[in-house]
Amino acid sequence: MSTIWTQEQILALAPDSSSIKNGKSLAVRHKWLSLSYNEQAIWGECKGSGKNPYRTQIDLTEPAFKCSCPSRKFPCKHGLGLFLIFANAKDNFNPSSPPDWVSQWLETRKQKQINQQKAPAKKTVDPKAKVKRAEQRYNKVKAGMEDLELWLRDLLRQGLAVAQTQPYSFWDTAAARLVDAQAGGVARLIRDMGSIPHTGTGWEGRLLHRLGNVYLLLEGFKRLESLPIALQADIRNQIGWTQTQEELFTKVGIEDEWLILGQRVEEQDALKSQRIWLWGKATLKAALILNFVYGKQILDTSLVPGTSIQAELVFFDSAYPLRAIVKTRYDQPKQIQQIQGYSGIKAMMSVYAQALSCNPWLEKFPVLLNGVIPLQQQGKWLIRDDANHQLAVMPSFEQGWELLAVSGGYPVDLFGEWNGEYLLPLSLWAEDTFLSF
Amino acid sequence: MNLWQDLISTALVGTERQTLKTPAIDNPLGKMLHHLDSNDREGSLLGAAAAIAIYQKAGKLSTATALSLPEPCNQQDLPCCNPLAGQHLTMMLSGEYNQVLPEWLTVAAKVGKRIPPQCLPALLTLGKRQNHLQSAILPVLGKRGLWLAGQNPEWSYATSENTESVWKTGNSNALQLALSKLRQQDPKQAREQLQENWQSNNLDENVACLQALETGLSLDDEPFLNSALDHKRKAIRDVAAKLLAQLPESELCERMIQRVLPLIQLQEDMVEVTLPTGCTKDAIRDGIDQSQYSSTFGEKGSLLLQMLACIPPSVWSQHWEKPPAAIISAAEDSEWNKLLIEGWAKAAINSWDVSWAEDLLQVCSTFYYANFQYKQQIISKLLGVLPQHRADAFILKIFTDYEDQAFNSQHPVVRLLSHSSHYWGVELSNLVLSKIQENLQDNHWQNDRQMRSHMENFALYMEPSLAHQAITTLSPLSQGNWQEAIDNFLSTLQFRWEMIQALQ
Repeated sequence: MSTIWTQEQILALAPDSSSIKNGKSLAVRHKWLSLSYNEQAIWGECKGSGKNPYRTQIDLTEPAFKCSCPSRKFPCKHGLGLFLIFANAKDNFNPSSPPDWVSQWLETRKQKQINQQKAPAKKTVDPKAKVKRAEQRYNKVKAGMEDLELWLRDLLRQGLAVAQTQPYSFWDTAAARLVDAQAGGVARLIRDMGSIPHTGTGWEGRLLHRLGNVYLLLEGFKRLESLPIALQADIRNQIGWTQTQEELFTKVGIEDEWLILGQRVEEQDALKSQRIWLWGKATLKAALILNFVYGKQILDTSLVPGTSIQAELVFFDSAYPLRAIVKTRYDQPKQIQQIQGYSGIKAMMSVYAQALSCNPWLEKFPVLLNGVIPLQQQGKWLIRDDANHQLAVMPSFEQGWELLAVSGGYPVDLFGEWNGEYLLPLSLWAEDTFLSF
Repeated sequence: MNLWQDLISTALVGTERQTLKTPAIDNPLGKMLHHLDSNDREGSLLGAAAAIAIYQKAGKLSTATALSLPEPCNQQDLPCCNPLAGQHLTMMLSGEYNQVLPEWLTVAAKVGKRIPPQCLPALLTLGKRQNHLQSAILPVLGKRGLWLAGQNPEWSYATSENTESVWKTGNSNALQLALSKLRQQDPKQAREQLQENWQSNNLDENVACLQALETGLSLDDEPFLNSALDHKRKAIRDVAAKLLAQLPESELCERMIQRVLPLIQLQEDMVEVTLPTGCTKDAIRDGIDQSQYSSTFGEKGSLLLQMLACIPPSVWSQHWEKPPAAIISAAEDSEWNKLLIEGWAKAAINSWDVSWAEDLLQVCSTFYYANFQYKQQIISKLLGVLPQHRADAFILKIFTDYEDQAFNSQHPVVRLLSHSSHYWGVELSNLVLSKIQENLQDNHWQNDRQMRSHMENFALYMEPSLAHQAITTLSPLSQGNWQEAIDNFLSTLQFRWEMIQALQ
């Protein structure tokens, strides 16, 4: 097997910290009645509190997990424990051909993948009704956007100083009206503005930036039909329409060796959003796999930062396509050996400018920089390149000292998200060390 | 950009009160802004804001002005431990098996490895909170760690490794570590270094530095320590007195002996004790503290206890020409037996006297309920005086002596082991392991809840190469009430074994 999994990568799959602890405590040989592997999978039987042992299995090609335990966490502690033993002490596993409970699962998974790639089952939708529904939604959004424009103009007429005195509900109510109008994307933009008047010096400028951004969206929506198709997609996406994934599976994608550079999970209320960034080795294209899960639903564990996969990706429509889905994977993941990104901050900024010219609403721009040095100045972290250009690190980023420690004052390769103001580091390479934050 | 400032000020007061004037700018941005309908006050303001915001975002390229890079770290460093060892460390730093951390640090230092750089911030921060780990942390930081610590004042203790600057800028913590280290190499030079800074240091720094003289302490230090006995601050006087008491030939010890000799007599296998009449000024100068009062011994007894602790116990063996065991056994029948045993125990610990420590432990293990003020500390410190093989041999002997007694939390060996902080050899480990197996098999510990916490402690000190054997013999017994305790015991032992293997 070409992949050598590290404990760090495995623990990054854990849904929470108690799973890490429990997984680790199961990562000892004597908890397991049997441990076996073949080319594709590993499996084992773990003693539990019940009469029968739990049957735990991992398909290494992704990795994907399955366990007979009743836990609703995913992967469960047994899955993590099994994987950890495999990573730390592979000698404990015996080569073997899979028993039925493993081979059946692997077979089902294979079938599922084949089905997914096939054209989606034609649902019997009445095309007329579909058109009508779309029209209804469009009209709803249109009314919402008109309402928003009045609100926005009113805000400007009275001035930002007045807006600063408004309670949060001022912004929340406006956002809620947009949610009702099925324009969830703009609603989020408005809701996020609510905290800006309290962010201290320079808040006026920051708020005006965002208001301008929303106004641009309003103007774009008004003349939607006259714009290029790809830009229409960006506007629709920004407002809150989503392209269905089934539709994407039918399209031909881009094949490459995709390096999985970093991931970030953010949680708001019961909604978890997971961003996984990929980078095409040959195409030098960035791709974003975006997942949303509610409550106890499970996040994607199949893309592990620090590894690469041979795969076909299909991009969502956009003037600057970033968001994508993995249509087909061909091989087991490999460890990333080498990465080739922007040679400097100037080069990166010129690509960023191009990206903005395609999609002015772009919020997070993936940045892979070779040879930058992290440093601290007046308590703030920043990175600079050999041409003395610099990027400020996101103030909420807590691992500045780790950055500095790994670099030792020497240039490192860094991957992160640039939002136009700050860089949020997601991973780092130095002296053969891969570090994911 | 002035235009942007104009936009902001107009937006702030509102278009109702102020009209935005867009100046003609001869560049693509200006041309674009020119297209905006100036009659639409809000629209043109928002439109301009949108355009300029993107213009600024796209063109933002900040150049570092006069930004001096820190000197990079010296690359000639200790070899880094392997990734698996690094993962073990990461686990302990995140709280799992954190009691094993000191062992990891010691082994890593012994094999000359440094920790992976990404672990440095967490370990340095831990050392800041837990002083006792600092001297174990320093050797595994490598040059990278010292380089990093030099840039964060929170981690200044680690700068003690930089001997040039520490004397000038180090805090009390760093000074003490640096001085202790120098004492190991050259005690005289270290003392002179301390004397050089004596006037400029503050009280805390001087107390810390003085404590560092305990390393490599000898009669050469006496003149300086004697002068410190007259220091105006009590904290300094106390440390000096404690150190002088560790030197059997010191004048302080001699004075203490003269005070106590008339009070304690060995007569026909009985130790007779006369309490001191009071505390003289001279005694106070020698570190006797009237405020240290123990209700067990009363006012005068407390004074005697302190004096006794200042006299190396070898003085008594020489004075009475009897081995420690005979003296201790004579003291056991005395009215003041507890006072004598506790005083000698403290003295044996202070003066690192192995044969007294061993004989006192013999008494302490049966004398467990003796009302020592800090009995647990005393037992574990007495054990600490013994070198590992002596401690093992001693415990094995007690084992033989009490072979018939049930091996449970009341057993003298269990009591001793639960206070031990040394790593056991194979023979002792094997013996304890077989006792654990025996008692669990026969279900003898059903009502002995204390044994569970003892097991936790055993797992930290037992010879880790027995992990495999322990798993084979004990995992079948892992069930019922004992499941958790056995599982924890085995996984800790297994973790230690894997951890040590990974470091080799």
